[in-house]
Amino acid sequence: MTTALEVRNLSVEITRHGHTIRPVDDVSLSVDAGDCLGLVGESGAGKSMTLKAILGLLPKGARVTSGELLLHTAEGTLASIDPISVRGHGISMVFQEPMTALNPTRRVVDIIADGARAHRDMSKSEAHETAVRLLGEVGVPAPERRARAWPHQLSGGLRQRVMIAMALATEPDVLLCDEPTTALDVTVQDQILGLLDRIRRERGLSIIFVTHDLAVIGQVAQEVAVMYAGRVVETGPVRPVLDRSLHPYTNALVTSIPHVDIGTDQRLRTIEGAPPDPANFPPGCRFSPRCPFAQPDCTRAEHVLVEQATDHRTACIHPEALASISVEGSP
Amino acid sequence: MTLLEIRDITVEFPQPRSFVDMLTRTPRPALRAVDHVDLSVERGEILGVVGESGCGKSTLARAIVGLVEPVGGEVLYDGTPLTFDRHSNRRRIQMVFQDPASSLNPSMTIGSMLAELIAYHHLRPPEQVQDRCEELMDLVNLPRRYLAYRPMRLSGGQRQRIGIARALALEPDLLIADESVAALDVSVQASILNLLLDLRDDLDLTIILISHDLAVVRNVCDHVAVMYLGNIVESGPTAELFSSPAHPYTTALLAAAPSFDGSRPPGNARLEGEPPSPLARPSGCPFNPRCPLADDECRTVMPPLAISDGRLVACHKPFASSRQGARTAGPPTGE
Amino acid sequence: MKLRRRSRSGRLAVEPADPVAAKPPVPTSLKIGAAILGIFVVVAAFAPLIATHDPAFQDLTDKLASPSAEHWLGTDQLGRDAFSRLVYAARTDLIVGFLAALFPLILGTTLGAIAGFFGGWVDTVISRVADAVQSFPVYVFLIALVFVLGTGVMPILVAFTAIAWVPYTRLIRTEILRAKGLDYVAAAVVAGLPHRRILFRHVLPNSVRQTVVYFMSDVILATVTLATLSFLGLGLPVEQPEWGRMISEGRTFLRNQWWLSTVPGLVIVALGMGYALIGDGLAQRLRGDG
Repeated sequence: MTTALEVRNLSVEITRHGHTIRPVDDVSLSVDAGDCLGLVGESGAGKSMTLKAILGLLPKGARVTSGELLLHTAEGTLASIDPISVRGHGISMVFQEPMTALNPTRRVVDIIADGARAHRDMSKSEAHETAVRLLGEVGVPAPERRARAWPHQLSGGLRQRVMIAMALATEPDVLLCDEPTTALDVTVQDQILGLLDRIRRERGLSIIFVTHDLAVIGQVAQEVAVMYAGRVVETGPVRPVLDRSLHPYTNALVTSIPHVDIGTDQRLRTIEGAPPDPANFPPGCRFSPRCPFAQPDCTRAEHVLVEQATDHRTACIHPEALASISVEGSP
Repeated sequence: MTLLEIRDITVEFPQPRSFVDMLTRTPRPALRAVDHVDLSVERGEILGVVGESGCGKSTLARAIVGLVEPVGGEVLYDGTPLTFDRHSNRRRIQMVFQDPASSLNPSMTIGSMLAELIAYHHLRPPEQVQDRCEELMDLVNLPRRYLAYRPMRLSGGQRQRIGIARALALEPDLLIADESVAALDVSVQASILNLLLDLRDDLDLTIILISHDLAVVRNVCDHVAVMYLGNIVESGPTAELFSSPAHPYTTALLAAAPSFDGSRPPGNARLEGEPPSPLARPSGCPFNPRCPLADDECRTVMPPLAISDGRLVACHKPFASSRQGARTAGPPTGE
Repeated sequence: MKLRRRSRSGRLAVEPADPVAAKPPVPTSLKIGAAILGIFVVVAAFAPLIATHDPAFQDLTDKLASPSAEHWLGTDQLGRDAFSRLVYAARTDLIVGFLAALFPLILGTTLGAIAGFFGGWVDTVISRVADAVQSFPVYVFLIALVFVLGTGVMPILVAFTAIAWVPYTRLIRTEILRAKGLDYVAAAVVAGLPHRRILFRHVLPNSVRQTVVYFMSDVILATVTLATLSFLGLGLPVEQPEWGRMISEGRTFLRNQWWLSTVPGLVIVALGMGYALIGDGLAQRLRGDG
């Protein structure tokens, strides 16, 4: 399996009122060609900031202080590239709120055609045809007619489809999705997730899917990276990470969410405390103040992802504590 | 014992009319958000109301607490009708809101917010108001010193606890939680849900939990009512409704819910389209344009909410036990 | 599932120890502005102690004198001490300028609160009247009103109030419509609190802050407009010391006694700066609150 996109040792810093915080700290990610990588974490974990850094869309005051971005090129080699130059070429993004991401003064067809023409030289009518074809591909009913619509005339689900068509117009190899279904209803979310899964398989697209919803990750992702307080704490193939977590934070997340398919004995497990303030990260393992398995040496732990099982890496220095509990506690 | 009974409640919102419409005396169009809904809540239970945005679940909640006035129907509380004037026993029904950022008055301290309610309703003699405030903070597991804080100093989860404390200050029997955990991170969400469960046990509260999140409802509620376009389409005990849904919409909703264990592929619900606008309600069954089983009867006759297979279902063709297989595999496609 | 059972929500659920709580520092602009305004207030309050002469005393033998130890800013065309007049004028301009903005604030806020909170036909009537008032050119309307009402402080205040309430009504109405949709107001309704209490304790306190900032800029406008009216010979009685009239009267002698017009002008600018800095500082604090 070839790697489509790799992020190495990415750090982002924000300076405000003379204080510097580091919301993304030494994050490394990679996604294989044709795979979907789920990037999961609670608000403030740095997952959205990571995506924005990859595309060079960081807000004012934030800057990348270190890190490399490697993209799989047509020659099959990995080249280090500058975020600005990959925007629209090779990498596209789907945002959470399509209404703010679609230009309200342009018709749907023009929005998509613009992207297509920016990517490859083509005539206006060609671009128009491409746009209509893409609308059809993303499941917009009656694409010829809908192409003439303005963004505000569309429902939330259709807007998100137009967003995806717009992202596909530049024929990307990698699609970055930032909570693309969070604002949608569950039946529409299901449609959009189904659509993303289909185009990933049909086009051999790689997807990085940022979400706070573990159930969505369990559905669409092959690989998963769990972020906590600016760092990746656990990464690996989706089933082992979710079912046999090797980091107490992942385990706590998994057990604190309610499930549709099984009723629990009603009370959910909670995580003590709250995610730390980026201005004041605890020393050592940043989860240690909230961790039920914390040992004295956790506060001095260096952050290294260690491979514990095939491709399954954790930053926890005492994964054995968690393993013993899950064996004992499982029904 | 039935604590609250909603009978045939209808809520409409008049829509703006253009000047020409006024001159031509075109009737003012009305958006019917809640359409002849019947619902009863047993004392001590947690009732979940689920549905997608625009299904009327929040409007129903607002009608129960008196924030919107229904155009028809009545709400019986302990057997007596609730009136819409403010001096009735409405205090007994309180609400916890969705958005922790906007549900607390930013210019009042937590203490003065709680004290105002206790003092206004004379729930405690003046000298005991402070003690009661501290008691309320204990109930929602927040440090008492927060009474001196303004909401902006608190996190989302803490604000939601204050929202619950404010509701409890009025000593209600019934608490309506309108999407009260939707805006919170998962770990905080769990602690708020657990708090609601504790309060139900400790204070003998009855709770109506309004949510779009099936997983939340599945884990917390005793009974569930599913709403679609202003109507309740199915209601029944949680476990039964989730294991064998009878209405095609419930089935689709469950099939669409993301499965943590990956047992359902994305796109599993195979449901076309999106919920129609309440301004353009289809005739007959509200779900018929999206329903794979719809026929002429469904398109013309509104199915009543009737007992079918041990629960209430509003469908001309509810799934019976014999069709168990079709149910678990997702909605039938109708082909 | 050992872990799950053990955890009752209570003990475990307490969130961060103590959230970031530091109050934002007082903005520098607010401090400087308050200091400037403070100087003006002190001067106006202690005018008899600060002034070196009787501001009305005319000495026609010593008119248009240059600044000296006796007359710090010289004398005007009637031989009155310019410095003393400048000091006494602070009383007129501060008070009338402030009231000329305060009365519209009170009227406008009340009408805006009524329109926003109750809505319906009350709202329609108030909003349409506001439109009508605003459709007149401000100065023409104001001058016409002052002309009809006559000279004196009261006519000026009435004229200002009749015109300047409109922006306050608009601001408050919008803010209240916004606040009405917020959940904490809904919570107050559900809690059975009466309308009046909800309006005054839960809606208005969160709606007036923007208005206070606007008020600061409006005071400047009122002060300058007052000076303008006096400059045009309208409004206040001729004998009352007033900066605008001082500028107007001194302008004839601009070539030789330039200070007669310039110093009152600079004083108005300084006062305006003071108000503007306060407004800016308040706006900054308001933003800091989030």
